[in-house]
Amino acid sequence: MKSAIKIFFLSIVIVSALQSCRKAGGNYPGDEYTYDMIHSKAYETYSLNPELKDSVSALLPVAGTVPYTGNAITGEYDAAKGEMNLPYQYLNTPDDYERAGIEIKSMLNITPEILAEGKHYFDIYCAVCHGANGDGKGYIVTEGKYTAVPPSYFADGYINMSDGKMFHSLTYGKGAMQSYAYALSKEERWKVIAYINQLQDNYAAENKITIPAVADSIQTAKNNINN
Amino acid sequence: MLNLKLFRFHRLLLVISLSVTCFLFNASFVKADVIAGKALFEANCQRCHIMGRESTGPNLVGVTTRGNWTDSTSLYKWIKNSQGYLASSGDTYAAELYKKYGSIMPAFANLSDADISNILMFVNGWEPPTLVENGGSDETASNDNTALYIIIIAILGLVAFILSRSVKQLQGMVRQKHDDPEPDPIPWYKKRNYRPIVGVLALLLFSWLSIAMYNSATSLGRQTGYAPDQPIAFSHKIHAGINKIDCRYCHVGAERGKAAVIPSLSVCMNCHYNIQELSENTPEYPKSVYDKEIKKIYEYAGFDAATLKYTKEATPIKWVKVHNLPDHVYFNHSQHVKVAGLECQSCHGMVQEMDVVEQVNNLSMGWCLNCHRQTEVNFTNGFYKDYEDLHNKLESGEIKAVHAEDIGATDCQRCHY
Repeated sequence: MKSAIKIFFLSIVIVSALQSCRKAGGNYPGDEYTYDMIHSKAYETYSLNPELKDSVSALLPVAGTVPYTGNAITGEYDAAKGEMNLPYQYLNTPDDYERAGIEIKSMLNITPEILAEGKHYFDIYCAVCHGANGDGKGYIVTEGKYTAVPPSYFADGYINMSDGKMFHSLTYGKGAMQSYAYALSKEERWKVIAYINQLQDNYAAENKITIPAVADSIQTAKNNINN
Repeated sequence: MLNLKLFRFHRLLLVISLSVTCFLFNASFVKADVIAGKALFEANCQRCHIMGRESTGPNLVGVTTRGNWTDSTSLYKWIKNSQGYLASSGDTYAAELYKKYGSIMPAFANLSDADISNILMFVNGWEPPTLVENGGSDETASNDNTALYIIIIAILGLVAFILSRSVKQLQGMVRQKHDDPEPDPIPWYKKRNYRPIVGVLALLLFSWLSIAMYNSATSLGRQTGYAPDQPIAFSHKIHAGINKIDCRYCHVGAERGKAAVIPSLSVCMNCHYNIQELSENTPEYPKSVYDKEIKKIYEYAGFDAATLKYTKEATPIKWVKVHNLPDHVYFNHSQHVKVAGLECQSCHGMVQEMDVVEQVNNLSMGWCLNCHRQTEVNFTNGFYKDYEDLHNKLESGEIKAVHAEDIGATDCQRCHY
């Protein structure tokens, strides 16, 4: 009986001691033990690193870094993919915008899988403003939250926009739209463009219109700039 | 005489304590059912049902008054095995629902009748949240009932003590009157008749102590409820909830790598290049407060909002990380988001309804394992195809053995990550 009472009081003490530990809430992350098993001694992605500029440990790759695009297991290398991921050579100028429109083309072999992937990225990054159909009626636009209403992909001058111009806009931004290079790799940008082309083709087929040909010479492009 | 006065005082104390106890019990136990229901709802239903509006699934407000669901047995059957119910019952209302929403609710065989009843209690008692000026809600009073239980136990102890004292006094008074001899000195709890009661009490006490010890020990080092202030009062509710921006729009790493990525300033500037102030002034989000928060982005980015030019050097925002895993745990977002196809909310809770992000799950090992035990492997993805090819080659005799290298053991990242 005596020992039972001792155990009882001992457990009361243990429970009260444990209860007195502060739980997480608000700005306090909670009491913890084994500190050195929880917190990394190495700098982690989001930890502060006093050795680096702005104490940011998550650094960008060196400028001009080319991602490895081969299959890691089989070692197969897709040359088109590799070339697609080379650094982008055009500058963020109106001239280069026109040049890109004429000179660069998608190297993707368009398959249903690629279109599905393009739709996946389009729905995440583009549809919020451009609308899921590409009509420029995205949710934040129709709700009046975003005042820079984007053009419809089916408007004149947009429905026949060249792939190169779209790629340039995605890379550097255009108008109120900012660069999406942070989110989409070059390959992924081409996939999104393939999907946008599909949207435009579908629209043209539904409304029985023919998409005018894209301007195909530097001279026409220059004329366009001058106009 | 003195004894009688003391007795009256004890009686008064007794009545007061009992009534306080009854009140506390009443208050806490009704709440407990609804709280349990809310937790179950958040864990199981909320991914498709949003209270108060249509979502992937129907709005559940008033669900028990609609169609066949007025009959609780069929509703319970539907929740436990929706496909079986649809096939066997011939319920046209359920068939219509299936048609309307285009997909059928998954079977929740793991929910007991009591669980479902708790969920329905929560659903039926749900009321739309009211708008409060400046967000001053008193809902912050914690759901932790420990203090309440301690008070109840203390009061019950006091009651028992007073009762025993009163009985003793009464006995003494009776004895004095009749000049009876003193009773036998063996205390009541050592008597044979009381042994079962003492045993049950000891068992209850022991269980309570064990549970309290377990709960408080396991919560040590876990951060459920951690909701730190951020350098900018960024509201996920405005961005992901009201404006319906996909989580992955900003957290680009969630599908691509280990970290979901805390967005850089340039991601904020995608929209805030143009959106420089709130579009409307509401009591929940007063312009006077939130416009200043938008201006803070410009300060960090070195952006001149008037000319739309970057005039100063940018400094990164020191966001406070909310969901932390111990250093000895390797967690990869893409494996869960891309490969398993999980929704962000499965682990992070309804972030799109949070103004200040709070950790809702405890991120413990048991919590991870629960899901890993139930998740079926999807063999159609490319990862398993490579193994299948190797297996076929091995069977056809094309190769003699599969070396570790064939399954990627010489990749740099196998060791250097």
